[in-house]
Amino acid sequence: MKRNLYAAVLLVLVCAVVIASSRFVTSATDQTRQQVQMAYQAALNGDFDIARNAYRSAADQCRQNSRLLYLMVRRSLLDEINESLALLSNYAQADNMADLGVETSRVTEQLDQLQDSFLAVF
Amino acid sequence: MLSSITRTCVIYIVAIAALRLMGKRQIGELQPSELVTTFLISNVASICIEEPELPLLSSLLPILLLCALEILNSTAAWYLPPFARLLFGKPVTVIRNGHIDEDALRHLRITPNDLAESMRGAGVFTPEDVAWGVIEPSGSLSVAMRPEKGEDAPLLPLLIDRHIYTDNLKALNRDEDWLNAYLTHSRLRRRDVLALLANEQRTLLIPKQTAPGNRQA
Repeated sequence: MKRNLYAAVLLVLVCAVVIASSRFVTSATDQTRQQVQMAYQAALNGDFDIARNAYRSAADQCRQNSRLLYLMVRRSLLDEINESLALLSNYAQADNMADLGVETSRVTEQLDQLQDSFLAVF
Repeated sequence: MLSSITRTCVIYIVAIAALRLMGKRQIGELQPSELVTTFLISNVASICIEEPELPLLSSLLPILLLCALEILNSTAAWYLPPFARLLFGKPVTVIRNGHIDEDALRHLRITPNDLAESMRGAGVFTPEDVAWGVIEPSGSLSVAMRPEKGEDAPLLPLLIDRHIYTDNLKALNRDEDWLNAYLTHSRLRRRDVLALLANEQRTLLIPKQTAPGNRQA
Protein backbone atom coordinates (compact mmCIF):
# COMPACT_ATOMS: atom_id res chain seq x y z
CA MET A 1 0.00 0.00 0.00
CA LYS A 2 1.57 3.23 -1.17
CA ARG A 3 -0.16 5.30 1.48
CA ASN A 4 1.55 3.31 4.21
CA LEU A 5 4.85 4.25 2.64
CA TYR A 6 3.79 7.90 2.64
CA ALA A 7 2.75 7.59 6.30
CA ALA A 8 6.08 6.02 7.23
CA VAL A 9 7.95 8.74 5.33
CA LEU A 10 5.89 11.41 7.08
CA LEU A 11 6.61 9.93 10.51
CA VAL A 12 10.31 9.74 9.76
CA LEU A 13 10.22 13.31 8.47
CA VAL A 14 8.41 14.54 11.58
CA CYS A 15 10.90 12.77 13.85
CA ALA A 16 13.85 14.11 11.87
CA VAL A 17 12.54 17.67 11.98
CA VAL A 18 11.84 17.45 15.72
CA ILE A 19 15.31 16.07 16.45
CA ALA A 20 17.06 18.58 14.19
CA SER A 21 15.04 21.46 15.62
CA SER A 22 15.72 20.48 19.23
CA ARG A 23 19.43 20.23 18.46
CA PHE A 24 19.42 23.62 16.80
CA VAL A 25 17.49 25.27 19.62
CA THR A 26 19.82 23.75 22.21
CA SER A 27 22.99 24.68 20.35
CA ALA A 28 21.81 28.21 19.54
CA THR A 29 20.80 28.95 23.13
CA ASP A 30 23.93 27.34 24.56
CA GLN A 31 26.13 29.33 22.20
CA THR A 32 24.44 32.61 23.11
CA ARG A 33 24.61 31.77 26.81
CA GLN A 34 28.34 31.04 26.54
CA GLN A 35 29.01 34.27 24.70
CA VAL A 36 27.07 36.27 27.29
CA GLN A 37 28.89 34.57 30.17
CA MET A 38 32.27 35.21 28.56
CA ALA A 39 31.35 38.86 27.99
CA TYR A 40 30.26 39.22 31.63
CA GLN A 41 33.50 37.61 32.80
CA ALA A 42 35.46 40.08 30.70
CA ALA A 43 33.51 42.93 32.30
CA LEU A 44 34.23 41.53 35.76
CA ASN A 45 37.91 41.46 34.82
CA GLY A 46 37.70 45.11 33.84
CA ASP A 47 38.05 44.53 30.08
CA PHE A 48 35.02 46.62 29.17
CA ASP A 49 35.91 47.05 25.48
CA ILE A 50 36.18 43.31 25.07
CA ALA A 51 32.98 42.87 27.05
CA ARG A 52 31.06 45.35 24.87
CA ASN A 53 32.28 43.72 21.67
CA ALA A 54 31.41 40.30 23.02
CA TYR A 55 27.89 41.43 23.98
CA ARG A 56 27.36 42.95 20.53
CA SER A 57 28.63 39.80 18.89
CA ALA A 58 26.24 37.71 21.01
CA ALA A 59 23.34 40.00 20.07
CA ASP A 60 24.19 39.77 16.34
CA GLN A 61 24.58 36.01 16.49
CA CYS A 62 21.26 35.62 18.30
CA ARG A 63 19.52 37.85 15.78
CA GLN A 64 20.87 35.70 12.95
CA ASN A 65 19.78 32.51 14.67
CA SER A 66 16.35 34.07 15.23
CA ARG A 67 15.55 33.82 11.53
CA LEU A 68 15.34 30.05 11.95
CA LEU A 69 14.27 30.06 15.57
CA TYR A 70 11.08 31.96 14.64
CA LEU A 71 9.89 28.74 13.01
CA MET A 72 10.31 26.82 16.22
CA VAL A 73 9.54 28.98 19.23
CA ARG A 74 7.18 31.79 20.12
CA ARG A 75 8.06 35.09 18.51
CA SER A 76 7.55 37.02 21.76
CA LEU A 77 10.22 35.00 23.58
CA LEU A 78 12.77 35.66 20.87
CA ASP A 79 11.90 39.33 20.67
CA GLU A 80 12.42 39.69 24.43
CA ILE A 81 15.82 38.01 24.26
CA ASN A 82 16.93 40.12 21.31
CA GLU A 83 15.83 43.29 23.08
CA SER A 84 17.71 42.32 26.24
CA LEU A 85 20.86 41.40 24.33
CA ALA A 86 20.77 44.67 22.43
CA LEU A 87 20.93 46.59 25.74
CA LEU A 88 23.72 44.63 27.37
CA SER A 89 26.63 46.26 25.58
CA ASN A 90 25.45 49.66 26.89
CA TYR A 91 25.63 48.43 30.46
CA ALA A 92 29.21 47.16 30.08
CA GLN A 93 30.82 50.11 31.92
CA ALA A 94 32.67 50.40 35.20
CA ASP A 95 29.91 52.29 36.99
CA ASN A 96 27.11 50.01 35.75
CA MET A 97 28.25 46.64 37.00
CA ALA A 98 25.19 46.03 39.17
CA ASP A 99 22.82 46.64 36.26
CA LEU A 100 25.04 44.57 34.00
CA GLY A 101 24.81 41.66 36.42
CA VAL A 102 21.03 41.91 36.60
CA GLU A 103 20.59 42.15 32.84
CA THR A 104 23.00 39.31 32.21
CA SER A 105 21.05 37.12 34.63
CA ARG A 106 17.83 38.17 32.89
CA VAL A 107 19.19 37.15 29.49
CA THR A 108 20.43 33.83 30.86
CA GLU A 109 17.01 33.12 32.36
CA GLN A 110 15.26 34.07 29.12
CA LEU A 111 17.50 31.69 27.19
CA ASP A 112 16.59 28.91 29.64
CA GLN A 113 12.91 29.71 29.16
CA LEU A 114 13.30 29.59 25.40
CA GLN A 115 14.94 26.20 25.62
CA ASP A 116 12.23 24.93 27.96
CA SER A 117 9.46 26.24 25.72
CA PHE A 118 10.68 24.01 22.91
CA LEU A 119 11.88 20.98 24.83
CA ALA A 120 9.09 20.68 27.40
CA VAL A 121 7.05 17.50 26.97
CA PHE A 122 3.75 18.84 28.38
CA MET B 1 1.78 40.99 7.59
CA LEU B 2 4.03 39.19 5.11
CA SER B 3 4.45 36.35 7.56
CA SER B 4 0.64 35.93 7.72
CA ILE B 5 0.51 35.59 3.95
CA THR B 6 3.39 33.13 3.88
CA ARG B 7 1.96 31.05 6.70
CA THR B 8 -1.48 31.00 5.07
CA CYS B 9 -0.03 29.70 1.80
CA VAL B 10 2.13 27.10 3.49
CA ILE B 11 -0.63 25.82 5.79
CA TYR B 12 -3.16 25.79 2.93
CA ILE B 13 -0.91 23.64 0.75
CA VAL B 14 0.06 21.32 3.58
CA ALA B 15 -3.54 20.88 4.80
CA ILE B 16 -4.80 20.03 1.29
CA ALA B 17 -1.91 17.63 0.74
CA ALA B 18 -2.58 15.97 4.09
CA LEU B 19 -6.31 15.53 3.42
CA ARG B 20 -5.62 14.30 -0.09
CA LEU B 21 -3.09 11.85 1.24
CA MET B 22 -5.73 10.38 3.52
CA GLY B 23 -7.65 9.35 0.41
CA LYS B 24 -11.18 10.63 0.90
CA ARG B 25 -12.94 12.87 -1.62
CA GLN B 26 -16.17 13.81 0.06
CA ILE B 27 -16.72 14.69 3.66
CA GLY B 28 -19.89 12.59 3.61
CA GLU B 29 -17.82 9.45 3.20
CA LEU B 30 -15.69 10.03 6.27
CA GLN B 31 -15.61 7.57 9.12
CA PRO B 32 -15.81 9.14 12.60
CA SER B 33 -12.06 8.93 13.19
CA GLU B 34 -11.40 10.52 9.82
CA LEU B 35 -13.89 13.27 10.59
CA VAL B 36 -12.07 13.97 13.85
CA THR B 37 -8.73 14.07 12.04
CA THR B 38 -10.13 16.46 9.43
CA PHE B 39 -11.49 18.79 12.09
CA LEU B 40 -8.23 18.69 14.03
CA ILE B 41 -6.19 19.48 10.94
CA SER B 42 -8.45 22.37 10.00
CA ASN B 43 -8.36 23.76 13.57
CA VAL B 44 -4.60 23.51 13.83
CA ALA B 45 -4.26 25.16 10.42
CA SER B 46 -6.58 28.02 11.30
CA ILE B 47 -4.88 28.64 14.66
CA CYS B 48 -1.54 28.94 12.87
CA ILE B 49 -2.97 31.49 10.41
CA GLU B 50 -4.72 33.52 13.11
CA GLU B 51 -1.79 33.53 15.56
CA PRO B 52 1.38 34.82 13.88
CA GLU B 53 2.97 34.63 17.32
CA LEU B 54 2.99 30.83 17.18
CA PRO B 55 5.90 29.13 15.42
CA LEU B 56 5.07 27.60 12.03
CA LEU B 57 6.47 24.20 12.95
CA SER B 58 4.05 23.91 15.86
CA SER B 59 1.27 23.67 13.26
CA LEU B 60 3.00 21.91 10.39
CA LEU B 61 4.28 19.02 12.45
CA PRO B 62 0.91 18.20 14.09
CA ILE B 63 -0.80 18.30 10.68
CA LEU B 64 1.71 15.87 9.18
CA LEU B 65 1.62 13.71 12.28
CA LEU B 66 -2.20 13.54 12.25
CA CYS B 67 -2.13 12.59 8.58
CA ALA B 68 0.42 9.81 9.17
CA LEU B 69 -1.46 8.48 12.19
CA GLU B 70 -4.75 8.43 10.28
CA ILE B 71 -3.20 6.45 7.43
CA LEU B 72 -1.64 3.96 9.83
CA ASN B 73 -4.94 3.74 11.73
CA SER B 74 -6.84 2.88 8.59
CA THR B 75 -4.18 0.31 7.66
CA ALA B 76 -4.55 -1.32 11.06
CA ALA B 77 -8.33 -1.36 10.52
CA TRP B 78 -7.76 -3.19 7.20
CA TYR B 79 -5.67 -5.91 8.77
CA LEU B 80 -7.60 -6.19 12.03
CA PRO B 81 -11.38 -6.30 11.46
CA PRO B 82 -12.12 -6.30 15.23
CA PHE B 83 -10.10 -3.10 15.51
CA ALA B 84 -12.04 -1.69 12.57
CA ARG B 85 -15.32 -2.47 14.32
CA LEU B 86 -14.05 -0.85 17.50
CA LEU B 87 -12.90 2.23 15.62
CA PHE B 88 -15.67 2.65 13.07
CA GLY B 89 -18.57 0.90 14.70
CA LYS B 90 -20.88 -1.49 12.89
CA PRO B 91 -24.11 -1.09 10.95
CA VAL B 92 -27.34 -1.52 12.90
CA THR B 93 -30.51 -2.90 11.36
CA VAL B 94 -33.49 -0.61 11.96
CA ILE B 95 -36.00 -1.90 9.40
CA ARG B 96 -36.62 -5.54 8.61
CA ASN B 97 -39.30 -6.61 6.09
CA GLY B 98 -41.28 -3.45 6.58
CA HIS B 99 -41.06 -3.45 10.39
CA ILE B 100 -39.19 -0.76 12.27
CA ASP B 101 -37.02 -1.98 15.14
CA GLU B 102 -37.79 0.53 17.90
CA ASP B 103 -35.22 -0.99 20.27
CA ALA B 104 -32.53 -0.37 17.70
CA LEU B 105 -33.71 3.23 17.26
CA ARG B 106 -33.62 3.75 21.03
CA HIS B 107 -30.14 2.25 21.21
CA LEU B 108 -28.96 4.60 18.46
CA ARG B 109 -30.86 7.58 19.93
CA ILE B 110 -32.50 8.14 16.57
CA THR B 111 -35.99 9.57 16.71
CA PRO B 112 -38.71 8.36 14.33
CA ASN B 113 -38.56 11.80 12.72
CA ASP B 114 -34.84 11.33 12.04
CA LEU B 115 -35.53 7.94 10.55
CA ALA B 116 -38.35 9.27 8.38
CA GLU B 117 -36.07 12.05 7.16
CA SER B 118 -33.30 9.58 6.32
CA MET B 119 -35.79 7.37 4.51
CA ARG B 120 -37.03 10.28 2.42
CA GLY B 121 -33.39 11.12 1.64
CA ALA B 122 -32.99 7.55 0.39
CA GLY B 123 -36.09 7.89 -1.77
CA VAL B 124 -38.22 5.69 0.48
CA PHE B 125 -41.61 6.98 1.67
CA THR B 126 -42.92 3.99 3.54
CA PRO B 127 -41.04 1.40 5.59
CA GLU B 128 -43.34 -1.28 4.14
CA ASP B 129 -41.27 -1.15 0.94
CA VAL B 130 -38.04 -1.89 2.78
CA ALA B 131 -36.65 -5.43 3.07
CA TRP B 132 -33.58 -4.37 5.02
CA GLY B 133 -32.80 -0.90 6.34
CA VAL B 134 -29.53 -0.30 8.16
CA ILE B 135 -27.94 2.71 9.81
CA GLU B 136 -24.30 2.73 8.74
CA PRO B 137 -21.46 3.72 11.09
CA SER B 138 -21.34 7.04 9.26
CA GLY B 139 -24.94 7.69 10.34
CA SER B 140 -26.51 7.37 6.91
CA LEU B 141 -29.38 5.02 6.13
CA SER B 142 -28.96 2.30 3.52
CA VAL B 143 -31.98 0.38 2.31
CA ALA B 144 -32.61 -2.78 0.30
CA MET B 145 -36.11 -2.63 -1.16
CA ARG B 146 -38.63 -5.43 -1.12
CA PRO B 147 -38.73 -7.09 -4.51
CA GLU B 148 -41.51 -6.40 -6.96
CA LYS B 149 -43.49 -9.35 -8.34
CA GLY B 150 -41.15 -11.65 -10.26
CA GLU B 151 -38.01 -10.00 -8.99
CA ASP B 152 -35.39 -11.63 -6.81
CA ALA B 153 -35.16 -10.60 -3.18
CA PRO B 154 -32.06 -8.53 -2.43
CA LEU B 155 -28.96 -10.38 -1.35
CA LEU B 156 -28.27 -9.68 2.32
CA PRO B 157 -24.75 -9.80 3.76
CA LEU B 158 -24.14 -12.72 6.08
CA LEU B 159 -20.35 -12.52 6.43
CA ILE B 160 -18.11 -9.63 5.42
CA ASP B 161 -14.43 -9.68 6.36
CA ARG B 162 -14.94 -11.94 9.38
CA HIS B 163 -17.91 -9.95 10.67
CA ILE B 164 -21.05 -12.08 10.90
CA TYR B 165 -24.42 -10.42 10.39
CA THR B 166 -26.32 -12.57 12.86
CA ASP B 167 -29.57 -10.66 12.38
CA ASN B 168 -29.48 -11.35 8.63
CA LEU B 169 -28.75 -15.02 9.32
CA LYS B 170 -31.80 -15.13 11.58
CA ALA B 171 -33.93 -13.33 9.00
CA LEU B 172 -33.08 -16.07 6.48
CA ASN B 173 -33.74 -18.79 9.08
CA ARG B 174 -30.09 -19.73 9.24
CA ASP B 175 -27.49 -19.73 11.97
CA GLU B 176 -23.74 -19.92 12.53
CA ASP B 177 -23.79 -23.70 12.25
CA TRP B 178 -25.21 -23.36 8.76
CA LEU B 179 -22.53 -20.78 7.98
CA ASN B 180 -19.72 -22.97 9.23
CA ALA B 181 -21.06 -25.96 7.30
CA TYR B 182 -21.36 -23.89 4.13
CA LEU B 183 -17.81 -22.61 4.43
CA THR B 184 -16.51 -26.10 5.19
CA HIS B 185 -18.28 -27.38 2.08
CA SER B 186 -16.65 -24.57 0.10
CA ARG B 187 -13.29 -25.42 1.67
CA LEU B 188 -12.85 -21.94 3.02
CA ARG B 189 -12.28 -20.45 6.44
CA ARG B 190 -14.01 -17.26 7.59
CA ARG B 191 -10.84 -15.26 7.10
CA ASP B 192 -10.74 -16.36 3.43
CA VAL B 193 -14.11 -14.79 2.69
CA LEU B 194 -14.40 -11.26 1.37
CA ALA B 195 -18.20 -11.34 1.36
CA LEU B 196 -20.97 -13.90 1.67
CA LEU B 197 -24.42 -12.71 0.62
CA ALA B 198 -27.66 -14.63 0.34
CA ASN B 199 -31.41 -14.51 -0.09
CA GLU B 200 -33.97 -17.30 0.10
CA GLN B 201 -33.07 -18.59 -3.37
CA ARG B 202 -29.35 -18.22 -3.79
CA THR B 203 -26.05 -17.61 -2.08
CA LEU B 204 -23.15 -15.55 -3.37
CA LEU B 205 -19.71 -16.28 -1.97
CA ILE B 206 -16.84 -13.93 -2.83
CA PRO B 207 -13.53 -15.29 -1.58
CA LYS B 208 -10.49 -13.11 -1.01
CA GLN B 209 -7.82 -13.18 -3.68
CA THR B 210 -5.51 -14.88 -1.21
CA ALA B 211 -8.02 -17.67 -0.48
CA PRO B 212 -7.05 -21.18 -1.58
CA GLY B 213 -8.96 -22.15 -4.72
CA ASN B 214 -10.69 -18.77 -5.05
CA ARG B 215 -14.07 -20.29 -5.86
CA GLN B 216 -17.52 -18.66 -6.18
CA ALA B 217 -20.85 -20.40 -5.44
